[in-house]
Amino acid sequence: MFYKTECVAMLLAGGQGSRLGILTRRVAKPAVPFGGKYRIIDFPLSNCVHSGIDTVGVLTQYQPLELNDYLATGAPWDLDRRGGGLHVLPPYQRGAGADWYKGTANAIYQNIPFIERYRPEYVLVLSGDHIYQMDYAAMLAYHKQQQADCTIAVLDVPLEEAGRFGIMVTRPDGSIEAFEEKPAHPRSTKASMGVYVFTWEVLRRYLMEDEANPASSNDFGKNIIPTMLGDGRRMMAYSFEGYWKDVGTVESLWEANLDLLDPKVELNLLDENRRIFAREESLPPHFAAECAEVQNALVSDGCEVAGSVEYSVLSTGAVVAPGARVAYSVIMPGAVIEPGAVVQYAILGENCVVEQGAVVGTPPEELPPGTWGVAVVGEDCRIGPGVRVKAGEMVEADRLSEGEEKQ
Amino acid sequence: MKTNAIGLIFASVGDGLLGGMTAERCMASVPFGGRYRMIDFPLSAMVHAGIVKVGIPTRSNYRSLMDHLGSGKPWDLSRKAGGIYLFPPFSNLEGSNNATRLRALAALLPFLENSREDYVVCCDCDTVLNFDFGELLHRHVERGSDVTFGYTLGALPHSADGRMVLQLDENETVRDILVQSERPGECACACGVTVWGRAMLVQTVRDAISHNYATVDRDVYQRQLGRLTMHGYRMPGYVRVIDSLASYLAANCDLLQSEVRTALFSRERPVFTKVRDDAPARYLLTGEAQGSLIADGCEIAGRVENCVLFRGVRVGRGAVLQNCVAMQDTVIGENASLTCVITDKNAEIAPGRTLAGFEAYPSYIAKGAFV
Repeated sequence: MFYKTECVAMLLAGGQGSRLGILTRRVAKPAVPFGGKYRIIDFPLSNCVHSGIDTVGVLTQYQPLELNDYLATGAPWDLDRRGGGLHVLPPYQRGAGADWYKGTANAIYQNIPFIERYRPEYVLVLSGDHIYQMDYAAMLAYHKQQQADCTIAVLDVPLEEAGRFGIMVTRPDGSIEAFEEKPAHPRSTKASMGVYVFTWEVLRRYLMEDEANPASSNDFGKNIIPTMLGDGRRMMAYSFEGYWKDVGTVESLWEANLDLLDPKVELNLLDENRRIFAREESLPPHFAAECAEVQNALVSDGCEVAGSVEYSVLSTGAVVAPGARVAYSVIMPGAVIEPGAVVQYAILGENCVVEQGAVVGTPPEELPPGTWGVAVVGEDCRIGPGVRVKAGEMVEADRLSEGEEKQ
Repeated sequence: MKTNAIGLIFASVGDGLLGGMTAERCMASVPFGGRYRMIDFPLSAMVHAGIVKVGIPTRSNYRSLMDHLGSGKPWDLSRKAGGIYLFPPFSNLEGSNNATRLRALAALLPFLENSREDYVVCCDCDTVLNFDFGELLHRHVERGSDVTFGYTLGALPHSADGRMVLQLDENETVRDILVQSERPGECACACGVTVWGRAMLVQTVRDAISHNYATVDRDVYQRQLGRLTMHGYRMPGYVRVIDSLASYLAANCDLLQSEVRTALFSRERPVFTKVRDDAPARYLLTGEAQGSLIADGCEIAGRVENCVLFRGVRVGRGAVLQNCVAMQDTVIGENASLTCVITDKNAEIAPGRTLAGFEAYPSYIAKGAFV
């Protein structure tokens, strides 16, 4: 039985996230671990729940196994519901053949029957690669009050960074005049956050038309939004204030993790009404040994810390052995740093092992300007004793001794 | 895999021994080890042994236990067939409600009779343990016992009131059972883990009730010594009975040893509990921790040594905690100094206060108290 629901959320979680390199070799971007005990998708999902949206379709395509396992029945987010709840929606085969999701709009188009079951007035379209806490209910209320066809959440960004975003040029009443994708000379600083509210009846019509157009790339940003603007539809920008970060690149993923240590960053993971839900493993509290030195760090359940840790995020079950040093780094679940090893300005993937005396990453001040980058070690990789991994390197396979890489 | 046994966990054993800590909760819901409640240990171990139907008789103060267990989902026990059966006391039974174990068992007769499994595995909640119930059951069946008692070898615990001492022969057959034992030195001490054949348990309880017997220890075990085949089973791994504030503090501090953590939080048999979705623990610039177990949601700006901190504990700048157990959401003010103190949930210590207990006599700060 499918009850009528005012607003259905559709979460786009099928992207590969190729700019995250080896971190998304085996998992879709939304399933990448974040902030010690979360995965990226926990943020939009928890936002939905706190906003009273209990019918969520998650569109998957790239490497869905781990994401499917993680989501399962939706219970960790209270989304195992009788009527709505969480539904994983992969592309599927039909009588007339099978299609992958060709673009973001096509993914929603292919799931029109899913949305229609709930007879919604509005559809909230989200993506699974942003870190933020937001009340979608307030945005929906604004959409209704403005009698808009489409409302797009925007964030004020510094002018010099505006060229990296989709920019909304607005009129004084907040309605959108023009949309510019990564403009060289931005006319506004209102960046799209990839959060859209549509009046379903209107979106449905545009999805059908878009699908019928063979020249379209079936994408919200490239096709649907510009077409609606061209038709003079009522499109509103909804200003969001607070922390929001696209974690699509290695650098931004690293930065966003370390942002959690910054008291000025407006994310509150402890607030009972906004806390981020996650699927929890059953691990004991973390243990800080006699010789541990931990400062300015997030340390998750199941960690064993005996070395020194500063300005870093340790995810569930990570081990820092005596005499090991971790600084300005993101350590993903189950990674082990052996005695005397140093991990700095780096991301260590799940379950990788840095053996005795190895050094991963380099502080930016030790390098000529413009040559620095975050060092990344992929999941399950071993870094042999004494091996050095340079700044900006991505290690994809075991590196047991200097200069040798084994698949 | 499903096992041919049901579980019984007695929630209120030893309630009277922990003073204020059990004023508003039963032993089963006493917080332990940074994020657990006492019942999590036997309950998780039973689930790992394939026991999927668990009866939990309670005597009083079971509100927090009901809140903790919910539908049983965190233990995989929210089921159509089996799952958790919480048994509050009846109010019309003669004598005090579920006051003795025999009364509790009598009230459980319908549950026992309606089950189809052949064995009943019983466990008390005052014992921290994590072992393979399946192996215990296997030994029970293999030896053709009527009753098997789990025991530990060692000196009698400090407050051994009513704790049974077993006299075993070389085959672990029980030759005698002592209560209120004064025996010095090492002895085989029953630790509240017992296996019965279900039909035998039902028959024995019926018989005891019709004879108007009063207790299980004296009137069932001691009286039936010659008639029933009873064996001991030496408990493997870490087993510790909590029967005083001092042993509560000591058992928590045992977790600061890596061998104990490995034994208790084994990868094969993780201990399940209700989750709260706290953020990872956060160390501020001035925070430091040594030899401590610290749960998610803590914020540490002071110094923590040899402590167990539960979820959401905040330690202010300049505060020093040594050998303490701070339960969920305790707030330690700036520059406060605590040694051998147990703070219950939501307790708050004002800035600059100094409190000290002693290992053998820890100081206890009640739930929600402000010092």
